[in-house]
Amino acid sequence: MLAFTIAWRVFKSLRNDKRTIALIVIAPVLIMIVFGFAFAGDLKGVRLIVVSKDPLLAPEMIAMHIDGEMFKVEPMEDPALAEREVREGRAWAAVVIPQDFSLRAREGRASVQLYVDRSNVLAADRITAEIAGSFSSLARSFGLRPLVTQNITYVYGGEAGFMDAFMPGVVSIAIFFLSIFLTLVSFVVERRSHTLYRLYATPVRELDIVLGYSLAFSIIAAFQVVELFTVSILLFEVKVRGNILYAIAAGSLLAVSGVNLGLLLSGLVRNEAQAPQVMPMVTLPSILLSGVFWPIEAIPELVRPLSYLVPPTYAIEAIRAIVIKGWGITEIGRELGILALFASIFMLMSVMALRRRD
Amino acid sequence: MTAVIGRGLVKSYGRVRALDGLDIRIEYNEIYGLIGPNGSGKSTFIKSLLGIVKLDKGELFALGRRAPSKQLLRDVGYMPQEPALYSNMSVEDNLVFFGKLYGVPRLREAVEEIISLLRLEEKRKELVESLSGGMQRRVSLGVALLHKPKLLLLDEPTVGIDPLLRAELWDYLRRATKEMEATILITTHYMDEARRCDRIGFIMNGRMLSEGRPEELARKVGTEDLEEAYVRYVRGGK
Repeated sequence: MLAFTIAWRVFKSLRNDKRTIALIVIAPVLIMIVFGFAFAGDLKGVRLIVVSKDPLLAPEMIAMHIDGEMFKVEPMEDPALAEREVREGRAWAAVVIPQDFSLRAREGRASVQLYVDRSNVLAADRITAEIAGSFSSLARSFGLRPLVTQNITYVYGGEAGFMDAFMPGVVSIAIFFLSIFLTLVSFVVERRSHTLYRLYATPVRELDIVLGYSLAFSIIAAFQVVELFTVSILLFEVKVRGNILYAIAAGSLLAVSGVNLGLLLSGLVRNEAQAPQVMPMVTLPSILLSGVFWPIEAIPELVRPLSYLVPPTYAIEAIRAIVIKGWGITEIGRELGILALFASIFMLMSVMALRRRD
Repeated sequence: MTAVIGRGLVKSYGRVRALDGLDIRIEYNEIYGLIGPNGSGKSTFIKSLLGIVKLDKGELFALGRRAPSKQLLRDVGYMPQEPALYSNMSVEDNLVFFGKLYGVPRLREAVEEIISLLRLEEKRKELVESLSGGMQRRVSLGVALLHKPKLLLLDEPTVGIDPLLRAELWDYLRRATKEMEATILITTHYMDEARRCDRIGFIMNGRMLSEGRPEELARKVGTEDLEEAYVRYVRGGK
C-alpha cells in the first residue's frame, strides 16, 4: 500500500523540521493551559461598593455574606459617590441598602438598589446573580424570608446584547491577528526573495522600513475598523454610542504593535509555509488573556499580569468603552496612551532586529 | 586612485570561513572581475561592502569612505544573484520604487532611459512574476543602474541573459566607466567576460590567490589561456 510510503515521507520530512515538531508537541499543551486559565476561572477581586443606610446592617456584616473571592467589598457613605465610581469605570457594581431593609425583610418585601456597569454583558449578569444570592443568604441568616428584590440601574449597557459586548473584542483580535499575519508573510517574502537585502543596499534606514510598514498597516487597520463596525451595525444590530474615530485610532495603534510583532516573528521562520506555525503562539494567548469573552478579573492572579502585557487588552477596553459607554478621548486616553507605548516599544525592537546582521 | 580597498577581511558563518584574510584593491574607473568557484567568498565580499553582512575583522574602504555606510550606499549600485524584485509589482513600479529610495532626480526620465537601454519597453507594465528569468535579471540590472552609481557591484549579472543582451550590457558597462566615471566590480564564471575586465582577481576559500590584468595572470602560470590559468590557480589554491 503506497499510503504507508506517503506517511513514511511525512515523518521523514518532519524529522528535519524542528519547528514543526516543537509545534506538534507544545501547541496542544499551550492551548489547553491558556484556555483553561482563561475560561475555567470565575470572576475574582471585582470591586463592589456597598452603601448601607440601614443602621442594623453594617457593610462589614454584609461583606460576610458576599463571596470574598469574587468581590472586594468597599464600604461607602454616599450613594451618589458610589454610583459615580461605577460611572467612571472604577467599580463594576455598587449596592445601596435602604434604611428600612431589615424591617421590610421581615415582611419578605426587602429591596436593594444596584448600580451595574454592563459593558461586559457576561460579567455583569454573573455579578448581578451573585449579589442577589448574597442578599438572600443575608436575609436567611436573620431568620427572615430570603426574598430580596433588586432594583437594577444599568449605568452602562442596559440595552446591550451579547454582540455589543463581544464585538469590540472581535474587532481588536481581527486587527491584531491580520496585521501580525500579513506583516509576517510580507517579511518572510522580503527575506526569501532577497528584496530585504536589496533594501539594505539602498540608503533607506531601518527606521524608515519599520515606519513605512507601520504606516501602511495602520491605514489598512483604519479601513478594517470601519468595515467591522459597519458589519456589526448592519448585520448584528450593534449600537455604537461613542465616536468611531476613537475606535479607528485604537485599531490603528493596535495594528502598529501587530505589524512590528509580525516583523519580529519573521526572523523565526524560514518560509511562508512556516508562518502559520508561529501564529498560534502569539495570537492564542493574546485572544484569551485580553478579555475578549470574560473580563480580566476572571483570569487567575498568577497569570493576570500577562493580560496587561498584551496590547489587545487595551484596544478591547477602549473600543468597548466607545461602543457601550459612549466614552470619548478623555476617558480612553490612558488606553490609547498605553497602545501608543506598546507600538513605540515594538517599533524600537523591530529597528534593532533589522539592524542585526549576520 | 583606489576606489575600493580591503585589508585582512575575515567573515565566518559558524565554522565556515567565507572570507579568510582577503586583501583586495580596485582602482577608480576600472572594471574589476572577481573570479572564483562557488562558495569562494565573492558574494560575501560584495555583501560586506554593502553592510548586508557584518565583517568579523579587517578594514574596508570604498570611494574614500569607510565601508559600509549609508552615505556610501547613495553612490553604489547593486545587482544580487537573485532578481530581488517585488514580483507582484510591474517592471516600471519596481524601477520607480527603488529610484525613489535612491533619491534619483528627474526619476521619470531616468526610468525611461533604463527601460530603453535594457529593451524593456513592451514589458514595462507587466508584473515581474510574469517575466522570464532572463527578463527579470534585466530589470534587476536596471534597478542597479538607475541612479547612475559611482560604484557598481554586479554579482553574476549575466547568468540567464541572452548573448545579444550580454554584449549590449558589456558595451554599457564600458560606456559607464568612461562617461559616468563609474567603477565596476563584477563576479562571474564566464571566462570570456573575465577577459573583458580591466583587472581580475582569482579568489578561493576567502583568500585572494592573485590579482592583475587577465593576460598577466595567465602568463604568470605559463599559459595564454585564461581558463587554463584559472584552473591552475584554483588547483594550486587547494
